Amino acid sequence: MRYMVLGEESNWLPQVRRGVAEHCVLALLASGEKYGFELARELGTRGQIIASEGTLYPLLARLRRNGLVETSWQESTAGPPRRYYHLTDEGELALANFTKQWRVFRDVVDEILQEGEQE
Amino acid sequence: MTSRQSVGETDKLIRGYLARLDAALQGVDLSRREEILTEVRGHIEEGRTRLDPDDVASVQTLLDRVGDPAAIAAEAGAPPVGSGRWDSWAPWLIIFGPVAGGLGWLAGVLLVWISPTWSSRDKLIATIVPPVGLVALFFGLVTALQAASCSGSASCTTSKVTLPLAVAIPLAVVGLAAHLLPPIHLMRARGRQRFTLA
Repeated sequence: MRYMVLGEESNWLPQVRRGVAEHCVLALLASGEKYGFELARELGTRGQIIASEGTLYPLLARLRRNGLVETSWQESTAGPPRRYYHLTDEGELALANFTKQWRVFRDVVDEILQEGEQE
Repeated sequence: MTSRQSVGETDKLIRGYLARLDAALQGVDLSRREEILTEVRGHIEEGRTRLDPDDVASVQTLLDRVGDPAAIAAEAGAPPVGSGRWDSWAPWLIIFGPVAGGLGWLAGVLLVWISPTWSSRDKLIATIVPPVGLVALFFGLVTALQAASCSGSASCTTSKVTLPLAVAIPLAVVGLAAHLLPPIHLMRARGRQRFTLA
């Protein structure tokens, strides 16, 4: 049994990312369908959410299997055909639930951290 | 500047990357693996149309941004390569290894101990209990056969260690269970772990 060493980014960040990144992808799709490269670049440029652009694809496959997104192939004027991802009703619901819960969660964590700083 | 040589060079880079990703995705089920490979290949092609497609340095940067194949495989729930990739063999070697000479069994035990999949307790049990079970199985079977042949004829010359059938047969059954159950437990523990990863 290996214990988590607190304070080492490499230990907690991947674990937090796991659930959060999926919902960030859902949120990016809320404004309309997007293809993988677009999503990867958007998340990759922001940093934090995914470890590297390629790790987006297993995540998208998981969302598709869980019925939160659906895909359709569309021809592109330049380059290969693109697989577009769009939210399902279930995906929209999951996103709405996450948004609510995340705000509460974030506020509590912030509160605790601030109290710690004041002492 | 795009010489013929550099065209081949970038293609080679990309092929090499996709081959490494394919290898890293061993252990992910086939349809998911193909989905991920297709998407990553599409991503690279898409990215390539936005830069000089034959410039080695830009293609390398593109691949660097896609990232380490091991990280993608980990996200897909693949067991890390080089640790635990022989896990599926170990329980079978422990079961059938002794029949095919002790070396097979030894290899099985070795694979169990180098794998990160199982707890030390499971490893210890899978090492010690099956051989003891096997000895009990054989001892039970041999004495049961002796008892059976002795009860048939009066000429029973070999009267070393004999047990009545009522003891010998249960001993053989318990021995068989002790031989089989620990490796079966290893398979189940491995299955559970893979399930939670995916």
